[in-house]
Amino acid sequence: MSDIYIKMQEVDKAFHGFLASQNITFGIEKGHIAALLGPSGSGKTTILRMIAGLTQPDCGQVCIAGKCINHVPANKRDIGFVFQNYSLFRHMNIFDNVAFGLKVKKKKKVEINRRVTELLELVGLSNLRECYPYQLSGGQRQRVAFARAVATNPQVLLLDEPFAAIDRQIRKELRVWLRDMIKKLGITSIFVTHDQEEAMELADDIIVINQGKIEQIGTPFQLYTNPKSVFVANFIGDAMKFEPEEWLAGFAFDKQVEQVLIRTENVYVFRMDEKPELKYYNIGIINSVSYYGSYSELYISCQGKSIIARQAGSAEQLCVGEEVKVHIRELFVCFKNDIEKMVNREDV
Amino acid sequence: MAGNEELGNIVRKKHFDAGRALLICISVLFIGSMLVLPLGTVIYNALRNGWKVLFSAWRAPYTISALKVTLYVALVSLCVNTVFGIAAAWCLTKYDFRGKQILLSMIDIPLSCSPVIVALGYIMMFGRMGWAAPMVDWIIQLPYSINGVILATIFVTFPFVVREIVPVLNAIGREEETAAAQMGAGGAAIFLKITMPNMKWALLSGMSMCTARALGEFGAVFALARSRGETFTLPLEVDALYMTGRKDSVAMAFAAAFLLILLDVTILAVKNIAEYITKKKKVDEAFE
Ligand SMILES: Nc1ncnc2c1ncn2[C@@H]1O[C@H](COP(=O)(O)OP(=O)(O)O)[C@@H](O)[C@H]1O
Ligand SMILES: [Mg+2]
Repeated sequence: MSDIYIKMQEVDKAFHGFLASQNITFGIEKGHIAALLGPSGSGKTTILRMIAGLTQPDCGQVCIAGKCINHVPANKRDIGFVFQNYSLFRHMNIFDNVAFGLKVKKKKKVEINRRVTELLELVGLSNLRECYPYQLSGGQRQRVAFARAVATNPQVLLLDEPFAAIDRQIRKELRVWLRDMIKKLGITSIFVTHDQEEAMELADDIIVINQGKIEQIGTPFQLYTNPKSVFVANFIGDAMKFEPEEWLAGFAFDKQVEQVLIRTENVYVFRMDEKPELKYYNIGIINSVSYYGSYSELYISCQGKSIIARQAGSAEQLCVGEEVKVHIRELFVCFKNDIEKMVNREDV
Repeated sequence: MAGNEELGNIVRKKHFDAGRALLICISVLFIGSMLVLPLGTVIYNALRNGWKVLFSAWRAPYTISALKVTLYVALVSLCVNTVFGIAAAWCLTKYDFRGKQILLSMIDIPLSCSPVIVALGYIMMFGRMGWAAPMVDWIIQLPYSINGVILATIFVTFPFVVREIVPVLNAIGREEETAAAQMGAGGAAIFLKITMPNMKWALLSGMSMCTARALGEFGAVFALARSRGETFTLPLEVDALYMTGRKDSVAMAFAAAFLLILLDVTILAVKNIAEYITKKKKVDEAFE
């Protein structure tokens, strides 16, 4: 935590009495990619706009490179911004879109030409320089928006839901592209997303936001394995929710436990004749099976509850109607304001 | 478009052919008798005595004066309304403030309120005995001067520019402008490089409608212009010539009316071209 480049310190922001950001404090190291992750309306965009200078915080500090920039106007902050719907200039062709920031900065024509050509080559759109935004696909537009945002060599890049407007199939491809591009340029970046998979894949650090407050900050690994709140445990990774009842073999719960979260990868399923040494398991019946190739998903009904488990795609497939042993290796127990990991008695 | 075709197909399948033909007939008859025939009659009457008579009528001093006044008044009100129209549309679309809805509906007043009433209001305010006259006497000198005519015309034609560009500015939103500002563009650059190109065709369409109405306005101008050959516009001149009832004057009235029609047709052409381009752009953008 030595080289903090972007910092927010106890920042609050209210819109007409509605607190959109409360006590926002975080730091991002130089060259890192951070994700602001949270459900829609949780205040992610507001934080991004405060860093960019498009919204003024009510109190607290926004710092870049160790300097407080609260009173620096947006256009002097040296920040590139990729807007949610890209906000490309619809009456300008791709070249002029990318050149806009350079023209505003009154760069020489030759230099503008060279830089824009270089950027369009970098994002692989050289042949579309005369096209207009409406003639481009979502992915191409995103590349233009990216090129436009980094044209003036900013030190910080902010991206608001950069993949929201893109078809699912090419999203994955573009994510990898974007991360490589950012790492290549070495720009310290923050991107907003409500998709935890996206955040996990792209970000060095994830900042989880809920209702205007930071829930937790950490690497994807830390957040997944060690969620500090019920919200984070629910939001990162899919977890099944259960009442804390005594039917789960191998676990005993306190009275204060309000909820139990189980992740599919902790559900182990065995045929009835397998693992005779296993002590703590429940018996379930397979309701349905969805085969996805590399794995299959089993929907099991167990003591009147429905549990989802996974099986390797190459394994001998279990059949619908078959009776199985269901063994939970670990789970999260949720208290009123806390969350704790609990391991099956047998596996401790 | 596809929707209309589908509707047509459904209606046809249900043997509504006769109804369709009837509706088309009624529309054609209505437009023909209400618009085309009267206009045709005027044009016929203007041309009936040959080009020579027409040209000599156009050269009459009163007609020339009226043409000059008309063009001058239209030009001034066009300029004023363009500037104020853009300013008002900007306020209404870019800012949130109290009373915005009220302002928005007030812009429509000239369309719903008889111009004569407002002209009377102007006279009561700025006229010789008007309570506001001492304050503005040195610039407006309203009673029956050309300034009165201009003021009345501005009032009548104010809504057109605003009403054309407000929906366009609303549809475009503020995103591109925010992006430009974020990249360091100042207010003037944003207006000229982002806003203006996005609304130019709508603006042109509004300006042509404003001009057309300015050229043809009768009621408000009638209340404020009283001296033929000085402050009379073409519509007033046509009326004055016709009202004399003398045969040669009536012929001149038709000639002046024909002149007015020519001006209107030119503007209508400009407006349609602007509209065609706006529409074409929209279709292009729909192909996303
Ligand atoms: N300019 C604004 N005026 C009023 N309320 C706003 C404004 N911007 C955001 N909000 C409110 O703040 C909350 C958070 O918004 P936002 O930061 O856009 O959320 P997110 O990007 O996470 O979806 C929302 O409830 C939104 O209605
Ligand atoms: Mg948002």
